[in-house]
Amino acid sequence: MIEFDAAAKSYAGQRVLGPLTLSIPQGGLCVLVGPSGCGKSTTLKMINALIVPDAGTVSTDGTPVQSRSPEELRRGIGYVIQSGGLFPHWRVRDNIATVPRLLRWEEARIAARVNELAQIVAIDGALLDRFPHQLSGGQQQRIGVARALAADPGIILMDEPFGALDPVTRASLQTELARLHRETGKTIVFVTHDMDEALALGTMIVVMQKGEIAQSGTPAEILAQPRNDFVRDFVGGDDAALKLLEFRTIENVVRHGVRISGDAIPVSTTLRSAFARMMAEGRTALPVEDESGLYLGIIHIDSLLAASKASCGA
Amino acid sequence: MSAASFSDTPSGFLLAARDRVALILALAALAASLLGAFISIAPNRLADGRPLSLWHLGLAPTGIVFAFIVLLFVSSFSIDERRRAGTLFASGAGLLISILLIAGSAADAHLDPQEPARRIALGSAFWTLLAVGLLACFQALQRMTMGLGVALALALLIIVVVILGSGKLDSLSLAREFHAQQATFAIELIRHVGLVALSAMLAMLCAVPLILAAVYCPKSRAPIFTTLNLLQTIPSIALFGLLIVPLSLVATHVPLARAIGIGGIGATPAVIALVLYGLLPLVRSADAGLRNVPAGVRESARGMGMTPREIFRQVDLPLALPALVSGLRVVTVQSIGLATVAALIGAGGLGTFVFQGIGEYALDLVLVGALPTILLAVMADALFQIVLAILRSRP
Repeated sequence: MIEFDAAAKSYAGQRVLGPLTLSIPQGGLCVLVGPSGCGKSTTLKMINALIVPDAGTVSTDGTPVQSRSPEELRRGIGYVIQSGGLFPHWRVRDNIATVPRLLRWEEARIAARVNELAQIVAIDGALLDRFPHQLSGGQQQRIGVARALAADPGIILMDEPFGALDPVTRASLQTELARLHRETGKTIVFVTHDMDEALALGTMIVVMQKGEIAQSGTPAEILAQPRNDFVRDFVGGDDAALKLLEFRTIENVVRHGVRISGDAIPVSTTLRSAFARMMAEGRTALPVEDESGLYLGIIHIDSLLAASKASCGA
Repeated sequence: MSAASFSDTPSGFLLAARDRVALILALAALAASLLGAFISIAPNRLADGRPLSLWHLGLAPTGIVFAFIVLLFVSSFSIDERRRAGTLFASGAGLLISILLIAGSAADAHLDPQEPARRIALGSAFWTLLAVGLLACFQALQRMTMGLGVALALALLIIVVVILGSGKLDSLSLAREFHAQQATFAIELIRHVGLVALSAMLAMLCAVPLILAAVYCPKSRAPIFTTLNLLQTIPSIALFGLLIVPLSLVATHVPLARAIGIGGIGATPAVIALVLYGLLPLVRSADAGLRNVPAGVRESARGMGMTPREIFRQVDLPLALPALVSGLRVVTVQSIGLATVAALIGAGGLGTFVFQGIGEYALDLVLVGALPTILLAVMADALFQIVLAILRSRP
């Protein structure tokens, strides 16, 4: 649990952030999203005291951030930045071992942990003895994530970690991160300026604008009920309706008992994929089957439109 | 245009060379050995000599030197990278060894018991061939792997030292000047190295606070660099001279200072001047090295909970180390040269022979001071290059 209580920051008399009040639940993946200069990175860096608020407090698990020494605090919080920020003069192995070494773990325990992390982030063990510059951008970023996980912190902060990667690598790392989050149950705070990345990853999204929170909520809430024009534009205007289709499956809109021919789609298909499939095949209805391949019924374009209209709250 | 079409004309043939440096060296060696004096024979230490070209010394010496020049020429056209480096080194080393032996035996042959004051000096052809040989060797060594390069360089050094120590060159006037100064040579050499080592160490100590101030306190950058740049523009002789007055005053008024040897002349002003000249290269390179540490690396070090001290020792310092060492390299090589001038204010060192030689109009005596100075500088430079290569091989 991370809590901001009226936290604010000014530079040279100019208010750049807040006062900001926000609560990030334990085990959530909270994405701070907004245009550059909106204060999302500043917000993130207040959690590990890289930036100290002028007013208000930030606390993790009920303890104010400022009550501990900054080094001790940071060693208990994972931190990943764009392009990894790996130490170029250390081998990958030593990079991953950074925080355990700062915490004076025994070398045998560190070695075991490094090998374990290589498996967790799906990095070939042979890469551990290389230097960062011998790795691809995607591999470097995986090492950056492994390094943040090394001492098993409860919280991980990620500052535009995938910003410098090509779209394919980026998408695969997003999938990996979502899996890691599910498997480890860590609280992750993730900063990005890319709304699609935010929608793909977040269990909670905080849209920021000019140092303040424009809206926070689940991805579906943000898409369905944007609070103002800024949020509406940022989530893609009318495209938001299309994006929203991603968050629901066809399960509740199947018409049972009707039978048509053609390749059936599984009932776990999202509304968006079903829609795309109709367009590709030029049909207004598709047959649907359950997980075991049993015929269920059909999905018709009218039900799709009704469902999307309902979820948009219009 | 392809290399083949270049070969159609004579000048085009030269342009087709793979290694233009080796080609130019070969042409320079050829011109020098045809046009310049290899040795010159003078009736005494001060008189002008009678020049003797390489071909005056006989067919065998001429043939040997020309064979190595041809080898150098051929190496410049060799297509295979490794074979080219090998041939280049062989021709350079062969040239060096053969001209030393030829000069020695020619001097032996022209000694005359009737004329004990007769001087046999080395001429322009010898010096040019020496330079060509050294450059060819350096050029070749840089293209080899470090292990092989160091091994070959050491082997060549040992051969040259053996030749110098064998007495084969003792009839040359340079050797005779050296033998006349032998008693003081070792002392001055040690003084010279001592001056350089002491001032380099003191410069490093003095540079530390300046580096820290320049890097971590932005306001102090401009004044520090302005002052150091200004210091660098003072001519060395002027700086040595300027230090005499204040240091003499210190010596007169502080008995303790006089007791430990501080005075207007001698080693103290020399060391102070060398330290002052050493500060700019050290501070500038360290500043560049530390400022080049990527901001992201430093930020992630902070974000993972390193203390400022840990960031400096584990991140900043190792990443800036190659720059620090290359700064030290500049300072060392520069001080070896500048320390020669320090002989003027009584600091001793190899410059003693240079100024004594100038005073007596004895060029060979100047060389007794100048050649070891050059050798010291080259060796120091090579040593630092090796250290830097090792540092850079692990990123």
